[in-house]
Amino acid sequence: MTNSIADIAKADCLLVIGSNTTENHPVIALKVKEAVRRGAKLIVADPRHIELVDWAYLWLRQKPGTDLALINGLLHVIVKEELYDKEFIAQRTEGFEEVKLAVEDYTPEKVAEVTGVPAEDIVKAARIYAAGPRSSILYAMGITQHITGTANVIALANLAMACGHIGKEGSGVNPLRGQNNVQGACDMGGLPNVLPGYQPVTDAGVRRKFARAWGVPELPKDAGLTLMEMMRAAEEGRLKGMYIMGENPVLTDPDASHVEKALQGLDFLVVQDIFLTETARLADVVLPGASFAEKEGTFTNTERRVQLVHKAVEPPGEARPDWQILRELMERLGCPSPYSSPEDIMAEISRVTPSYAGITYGRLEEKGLQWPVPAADHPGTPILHREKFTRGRGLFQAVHYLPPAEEPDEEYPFLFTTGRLLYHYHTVLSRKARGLEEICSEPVVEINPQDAEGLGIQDGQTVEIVSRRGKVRVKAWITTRVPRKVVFMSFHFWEAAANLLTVPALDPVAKIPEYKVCAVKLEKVTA
Amino acid sequence: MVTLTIDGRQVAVPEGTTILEAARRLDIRIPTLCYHPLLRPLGYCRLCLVAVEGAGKPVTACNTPVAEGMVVHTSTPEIEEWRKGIIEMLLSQHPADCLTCEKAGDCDLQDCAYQAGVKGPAWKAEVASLPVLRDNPFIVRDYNKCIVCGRCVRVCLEVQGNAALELVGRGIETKAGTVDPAGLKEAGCVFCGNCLQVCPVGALTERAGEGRGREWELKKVRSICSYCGVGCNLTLYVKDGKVVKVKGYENPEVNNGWLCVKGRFGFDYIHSPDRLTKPLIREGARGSGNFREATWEEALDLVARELREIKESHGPDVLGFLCSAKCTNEENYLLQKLARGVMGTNNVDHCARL
Amino acid sequence: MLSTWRSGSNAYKTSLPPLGGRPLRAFIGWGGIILKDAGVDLLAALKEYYRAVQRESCGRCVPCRVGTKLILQILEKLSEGDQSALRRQLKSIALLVQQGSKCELGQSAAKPALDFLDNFDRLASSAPGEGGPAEYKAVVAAPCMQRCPAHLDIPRYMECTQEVRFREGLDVIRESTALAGVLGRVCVHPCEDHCRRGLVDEPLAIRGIKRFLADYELGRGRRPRLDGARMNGRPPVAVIGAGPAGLSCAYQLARRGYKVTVYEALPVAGGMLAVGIPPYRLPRDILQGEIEAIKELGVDIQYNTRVGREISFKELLQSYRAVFIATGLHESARMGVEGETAGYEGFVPGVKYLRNLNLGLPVPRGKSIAVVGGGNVAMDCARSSVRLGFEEVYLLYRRSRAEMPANECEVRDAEAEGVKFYFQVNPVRIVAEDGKVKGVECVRMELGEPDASGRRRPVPVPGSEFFLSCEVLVPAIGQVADLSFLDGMEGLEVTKGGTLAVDPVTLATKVPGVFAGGDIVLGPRTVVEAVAQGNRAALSIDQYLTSGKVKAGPQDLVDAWLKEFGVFDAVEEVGLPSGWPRKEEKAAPVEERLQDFREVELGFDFDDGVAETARCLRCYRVGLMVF
Repeated sequence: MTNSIADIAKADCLLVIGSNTTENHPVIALKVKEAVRRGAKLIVADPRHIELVDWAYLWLRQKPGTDLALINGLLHVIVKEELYDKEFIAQRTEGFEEVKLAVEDYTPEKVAEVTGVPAEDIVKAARIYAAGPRSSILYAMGITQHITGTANVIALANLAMACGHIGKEGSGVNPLRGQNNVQGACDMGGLPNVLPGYQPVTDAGVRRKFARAWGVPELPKDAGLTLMEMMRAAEEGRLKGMYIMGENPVLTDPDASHVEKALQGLDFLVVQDIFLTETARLADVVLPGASFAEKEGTFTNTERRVQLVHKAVEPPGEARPDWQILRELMERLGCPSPYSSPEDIMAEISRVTPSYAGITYGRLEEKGLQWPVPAADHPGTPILHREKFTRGRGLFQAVHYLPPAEEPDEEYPFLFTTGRLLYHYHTVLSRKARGLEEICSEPVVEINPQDAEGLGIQDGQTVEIVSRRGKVRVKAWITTRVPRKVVFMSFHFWEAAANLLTVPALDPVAKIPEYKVCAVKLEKVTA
Repeated sequence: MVTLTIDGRQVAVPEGTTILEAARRLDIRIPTLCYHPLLRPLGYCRLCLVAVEGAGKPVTACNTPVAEGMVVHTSTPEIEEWRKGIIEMLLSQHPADCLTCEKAGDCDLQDCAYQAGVKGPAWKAEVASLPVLRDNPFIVRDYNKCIVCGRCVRVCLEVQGNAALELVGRGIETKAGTVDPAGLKEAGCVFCGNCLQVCPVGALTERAGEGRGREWELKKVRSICSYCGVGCNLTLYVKDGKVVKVKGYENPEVNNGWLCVKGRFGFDYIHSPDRLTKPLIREGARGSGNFREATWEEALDLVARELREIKESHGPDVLGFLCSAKCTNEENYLLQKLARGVMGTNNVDHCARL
Repeated sequence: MLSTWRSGSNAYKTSLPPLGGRPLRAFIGWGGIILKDAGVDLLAALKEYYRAVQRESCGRCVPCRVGTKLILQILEKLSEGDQSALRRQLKSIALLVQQGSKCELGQSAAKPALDFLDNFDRLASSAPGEGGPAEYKAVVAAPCMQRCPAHLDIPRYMECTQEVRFREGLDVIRESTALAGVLGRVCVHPCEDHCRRGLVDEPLAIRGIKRFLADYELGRGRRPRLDGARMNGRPPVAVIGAGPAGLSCAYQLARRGYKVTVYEALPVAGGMLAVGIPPYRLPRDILQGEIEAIKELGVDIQYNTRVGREISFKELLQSYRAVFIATGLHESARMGVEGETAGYEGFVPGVKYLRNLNLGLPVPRGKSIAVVGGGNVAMDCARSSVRLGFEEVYLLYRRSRAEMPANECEVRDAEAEGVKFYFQVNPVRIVAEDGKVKGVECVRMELGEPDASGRRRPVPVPGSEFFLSCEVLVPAIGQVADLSFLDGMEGLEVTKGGTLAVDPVTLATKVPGVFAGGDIVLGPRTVVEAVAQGNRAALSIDQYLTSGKVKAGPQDLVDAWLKEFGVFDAVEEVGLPSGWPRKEEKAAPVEERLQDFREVELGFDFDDGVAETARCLRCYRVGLMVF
């Protein structure tokens, strides 16, 4: 997030796109509601009638996978009506002229045709967003999990920069990150192309710095494989061994049957986890780790706030905190790891990571700190891009709408889209929580009543969902939450794993799978 | 700024400040029950009555704004009598089961009665006894103990924006309740439990914590929620090596103490019988799920040996490492250090995109 | 006879009006006890009173919720046998209820118990039960609510706003009117004159909160939503005139499931709201949005359909079993000065001036304009003229500023916007050249003897004539009805004032099934009175169509009784600290607002709106009539 969670309530206009906030980030949704209560105009762009729609001033119900057309359509109106912030564009950005030309074709009428959103609503939304004076965008996986995921995000950035709605209180572009420490895992270099603090592996100076800090002669200089690429490599025999810590790709990756096959083919697989997950079942060695309540450490939340967790209880049996397991392993592999506590590790992190440079455990205790924290006396950075963008001037980039990789056709007439539910999170933890499992114990597929009628499906009946890659059986929930010809399912349940159906098409830049759109057919299961 | 006098001491506060807030600046304690710093004050309980010179009637400190030159007395004998009277009235319709109440030790009514020196009610109000409701896995509702402070209703409406709760009934029968009498779920409750967090008495309590420890026995440990990326601040309540309940911690920058159903009630996976407790080594075919338990020495030696051997025979880039969006920064740092610095590959990723 | 009830003059109140002719033996309520008949079993009546209080208590505050219940329990014990210890306990609980309750309901409810204790010896020696078994009737009143002609449940929507239950607050308003956004802007808010907070410092912004709730709905992107029953197949009803009275009647009937057709002579609905009140006081989208919501309930509005021209009144009587006449007053009263009927260019009566302006029809233009009159219509004409670009806008009024019937805020805004006032001045002759107005000859006035209305009558000062040059002259000294559509109708009585005669309670005319209300009955009055009459007519029509008869209902009797008995005491000592000033609604700066007919008042923001309602004393009171 460019801005803070608390900052959301200060906006005059909130554009929430591709985020079912009340279910996936419930406590951030409280801020959205607070803003609305105080008079902010909420624009929700979502194919489904999610709860926030009931709070919205305007609901744009775009067809899944057409977000880029919609966003460019908004920018078209802003350009055409000259609602953009000329001063901001001149002083802080470059490349606007190119984007101005690029969105010329995205007239409200054309965009209406592609997205299904009425043209007048596109115009209205553009005006409200541009008027602000403080407008903020919130988005999540509904924007990123497409083959145009990166382009979608760029388009949102174009929109915000054009109106000058960034780098200010109440105005920003705010991705709502999924997992509790997905931000931190990225920050710590849990990506194939960057070392901690997003320092590129391709930069020789950076590599030298880390090699010196780690006491090794050199570090690999080419970007590595992404998760999806690793799976493909494994399947093709180019990857022999894997070490998986606290992840369950068998259920969470698209086209799950392929993932399972890929892992099966490895020479050696280590899984370090707290449960014997679907992935751990395939391992050669399973190492029992510790849950968040059983260790010290830090998590970094979606607003870049680094916060402390404390040990409350002992890990069960012989399970150990994951940092201890890794320390032991590194020692065995000849890397001296004299860490006596996570605090020692943080001391090393802050030495090599400029954005974490000023972070010490002592400073995190009360409220945490939002990075960048470049120095020990720096108060942290609640709002990014205040004076300038990371690269200096904000770069407008023209991006264009592309239809999803797989669209419904005669054989597979329904658009299948996936997401999370309030009562579960991913695939493991919540399903081991008794209360959550009691209140929400089985998967359902959301089907529009008109479609259900056409298929002769009753509420609560079992249906079989079939895609080109697999099939699952699941109970039908007949509801107008989904529009016609769209079905929605969560991916929490191994009993009906949505990712057996999803398409392994990737965004070319970020390598994000297109979980939000694929084509399926539905069949009633008799008896 | 507005200047006023409270108990003989002058204080200048911004316009719009309430008498209660002004008094707290002077460290003058006025008892309250329905007041909650994060909720709109509505003056229900009347415990914060204070006397204002020149006015015939007392006013509630929690929702009366200060006025220039106001002279306030927070503790005259008359005011103290009234406060006692109000507490006696509350006790007259409250079950006297503090001995076994889950809330004992953490109960605002108990504290107020104790501090005011109230021994018990002179009268018992004739009220019907209500069934204790356990219609959901998370929250026990005993409205016999409800003191109608309205906090749960306000938090549901003003914070959660859900409006599943309201005050129902008239007169002495008035209690908090659900907008649909059928139950919480039917009323549209999403089980955030924020009502439970603000309940000052034992009317709303955690089902998971029932009988698992008294307030004074529980160790409180600050933590961060392990579900989504919001990073809500938590307090874990621990007894005998087990987390027995969770409350939100009031970090105003993040969640201000509010939580969702997963953060508040989804913690018991920590103590799931399915947790892995020993290193496991595969026996038989891959994927058959057959493992034998091993010692840490054996398992770690095996992992180190295999990793080294694969690297030596095929080079580092046939190895892949997946970090975890659930593990700590320190652990992710170590894993990528292991991959890059020790094994020599950049094949490091995690599920950021999923 | 015993009375513990002190009225404003501090004397004990002894008069106890009958309820619809039925005498009261006693009344127990917010001011104490009035006992006319010593044979009444006072203890029994008191218990009944506290049962009623418990029924009405919202249960939020401890003293009222628990205290009044304990009072009831002690009274029950007392009726088993007197104990002085019980009486002491009763007194301390009642005192706490009086001093500690959150609102007036609880605070006032303690008074009867305390008065009973104070007069215990006297009462104990009376002869309870001798007058035979008593009958009881509990009533709930609030001064603001009683003062509002439409009896809006003001304390309740204040409380809803305070508790941020805005939707519910709107629903409360919409029980009484579909025009929340309209009344929230243009109501003259008589309720605020009877607001007890006004006795402490300043009255609540009751009107402003109504607007706040209506605006909040719109601000969330919602359209006004009204709830009603499904069509029930009862006979269709015709309403003549889509002004506030006609619309209100149609709304209340539609909510009861009636199919209503409204006949409107103009191309727009709203009556004077649409063609009288200028848009800077009432934006048209607000009005039309609420009219649309009424139409969505199934009300059909036939525009451009003047009864007596497109359709005759007789035809209506044949097609409908009930008709509500609410045609209003759409003609200007004559000044009676020379040149008024000459058809000069530049002379236009006020009602027509505003109507043309609002319908986009031509109005005379020029540099200077003189408006004659001191009411709200005159202010509307003058302030609209400023916006039309007249450089000189004069307002001539025959009395002084203090006597102006227009709302003070209107006068203040007109002054701020540059209208030049001539007080104690009257036109005597219109001066024209070549058929065009050139100015007006005026005379100065002074106050003479009081007239029938009690106001001192202005009389001309001889020899004080002077000439005021202007290109346009707009008389706005009053409105009259055009009743020509009733030509040939027998049985409908017309009053001396040129309005229709009806039963003041049921609004029935002498013709069965024909009712009338609004300005056509009341003369030029306020929107909220028109709303009240529309509502009342709907009740009568429902009664008529279900039972064939029309008569005053129990609530009418209670309302009349409360009005006579008095609910508001203008000299009451409320006993609260003052100095909690009323929040003022935001207004556009003068230079901005004069650019066009944009709205002047901008309403409350969230914080101010909610904060203002915290000042409400929630003056519900419970009374118990004993027969």
